Amino acid sequence: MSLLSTLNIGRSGLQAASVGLETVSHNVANASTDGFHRRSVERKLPAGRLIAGGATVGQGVAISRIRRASDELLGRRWIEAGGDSAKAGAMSAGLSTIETYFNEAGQEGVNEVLQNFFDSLGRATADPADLGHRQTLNRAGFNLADTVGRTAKSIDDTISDFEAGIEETMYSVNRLSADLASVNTAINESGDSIGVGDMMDKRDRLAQQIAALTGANVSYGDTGMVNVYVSGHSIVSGVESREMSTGKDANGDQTLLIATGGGFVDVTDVIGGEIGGSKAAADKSVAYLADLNTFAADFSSALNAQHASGFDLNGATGGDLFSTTPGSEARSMGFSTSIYDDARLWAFGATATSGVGNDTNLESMINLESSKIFTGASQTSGQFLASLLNDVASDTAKASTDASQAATHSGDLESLMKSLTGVDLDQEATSLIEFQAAYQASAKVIRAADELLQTLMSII
Amino acid sequence: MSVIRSSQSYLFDLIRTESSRMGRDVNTLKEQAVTGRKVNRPSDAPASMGKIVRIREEAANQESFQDNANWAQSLIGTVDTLLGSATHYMKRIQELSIGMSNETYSATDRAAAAQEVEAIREDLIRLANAEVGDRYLFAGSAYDSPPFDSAGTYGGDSEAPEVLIGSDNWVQAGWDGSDVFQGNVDVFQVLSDLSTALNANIPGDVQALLTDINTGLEQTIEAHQAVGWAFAKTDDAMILAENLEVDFTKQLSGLVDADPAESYLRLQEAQMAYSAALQVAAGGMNMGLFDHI
Repeated sequence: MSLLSTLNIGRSGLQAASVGLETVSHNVANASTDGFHRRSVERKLPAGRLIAGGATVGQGVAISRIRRASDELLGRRWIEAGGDSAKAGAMSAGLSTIETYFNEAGQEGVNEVLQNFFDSLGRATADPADLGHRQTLNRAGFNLADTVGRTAKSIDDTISDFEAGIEETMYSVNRLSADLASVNTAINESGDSIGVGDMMDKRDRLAQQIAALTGANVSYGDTGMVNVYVSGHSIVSGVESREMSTGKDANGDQTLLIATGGGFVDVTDVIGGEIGGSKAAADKSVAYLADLNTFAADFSSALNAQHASGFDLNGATGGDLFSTTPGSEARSMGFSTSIYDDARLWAFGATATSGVGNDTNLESMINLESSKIFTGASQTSGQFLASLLNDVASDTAKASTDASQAATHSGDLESLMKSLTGVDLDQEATSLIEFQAAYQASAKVIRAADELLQTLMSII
Repeated sequence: MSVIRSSQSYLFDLIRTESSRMGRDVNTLKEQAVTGRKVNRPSDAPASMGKIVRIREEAANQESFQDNANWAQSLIGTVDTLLGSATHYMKRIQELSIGMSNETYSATDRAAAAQEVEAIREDLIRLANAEVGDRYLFAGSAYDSPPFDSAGTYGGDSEAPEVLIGSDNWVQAGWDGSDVFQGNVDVFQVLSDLSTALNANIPGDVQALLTDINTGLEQTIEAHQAVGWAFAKTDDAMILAENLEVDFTKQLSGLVDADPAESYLRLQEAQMAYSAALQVAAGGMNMGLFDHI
């Protein structure tokens, strides 16, 4: 019996070595597969055989399981840091786009055209009657309205792009959540079977993707299922997933919702990840746009009021220089076409019968440059626009710093994660040699047992 | 961060993130070297952006102040010359009238003098109707038409148009002809009276006009002096605007421009570090135990 048992032991060694080789091959093959966790073979000793005299002889080796390298705590931290990093990155990218519309470095931004406008008013004092000066003013006025309008339109369009982007991202989140729920189901049903490692790789990758989009937290359940929460509100809970959707609030701004059993939970202000970052960039942009609207509305009405108290070269009172539509003052800002077509209509004179060179009202218009008509009479139009630009600049710079910090943090955790769970080729090469040797040795054991059997047989 | 195992994905990840970070640095420095500016977008200098905009605004203002001062100076310069001639004419009138009030001159002499006075009066009216471009200098703000008719009646207004030549600094660049030539005394009327008195050959009448003639001369000299003062003011404004422009441009350059030598050297340094890192990474990727079994 014991010779046959030796054969069996040899076979178990061969089997263990070949599973080991398989695992090494699997690891090497997946060395650069995204989200792959290294596998290792865990062996155990089967129950020994009792022999005469009461001693126990070992019965070879058995594979207890294929272990998947993992660190749940680190994994969770990495997934969450990924969400923070995605949020900061999306916000930084969004604000960088917005920043370019305030094309100040290229010297064609709203600050610049406002300066040009007042500059042209100052130049007109040289000869208020001169049509050349008046036409220069027409161009400066048109340029001001046009630049404010274009800047506002670009910001407006970008906000719509942000919102559309969020909506699309949400479809991805819903798809990923559904996928994760079904992977959870599969893991739950498969118990500790061989393929569960691959499903767990997939599970972690999905959880990480959802977190990057939404800033979600994850928790691991007993049976290997992962639960995903957006600020405490579950979107994947075991085998169930909940849909996210968008809506509109009273101001017409986009809201972000999670469907619950009976209704919706509003997560607009607490959502993170790429969606949260885009949302934050959109919120900032809405604030910038509101400032531009304030500028367009107040500047236009101040200039129009002053212009109306002067008289043009025909002796008529000045008409409106700038026009705006309430609600979208900046985007709709326009310069009077009648004045643009007839520069004589600039009203610089004090009275209907003033001489052509009378610049009383021109002087009053120039004085508007230094009059504090903004922010509760504490800022001039130039200061107001400069502080808006300052806001844009510092918000963008801060978002960029935040993004690189968050990326570094998440990158560090990712490195640590990959260092712990990734495939080290040198280690695999060593294991390969080890299993190869074990295989050869087991094969020799079998041959030895075989020869012993042959010897035994030949006696008979 | 302590690395426990150097797994394949960790190594490649490290190379990927580090080389892309260094590549980004190189690109930023390249942008600075190419544009010559260290501030290429507002977020490059969030703290000084407000200052940059303000300084740029001031620098641009100085340019238009200079242009305006230049233009005002050309008008004032012309008026200066014109009033110089007017003073010269009035002195000649004073000389002539003092002489002609003397009994020794004959009727023929006075008739000849009357002709000269008449000619000077016409010259003075022409001078008072002088224009630069289409702009009549002594018409107040109604400078689109000649201020005086041949009878010496004023048709302009009593304003003194001013030009902005500095921050809240204005200079007069148009004159009320009725003040310059007819303020204390109506020069054209006096000359007309003088010519009448000379033609009538009444020395007493000529003598009676001497006070008015003196007043007219003084009035012209005063106007001339005021113009000289305005001319000096434009000079000062131009020098100030020029200096300020240089100053602001220098400040702006300090805030916005990159030092070419520094940005070149920093670019070189970053490029060298980048290529060294790439070389090390490529070298490291070739090593492995698998090569040896």
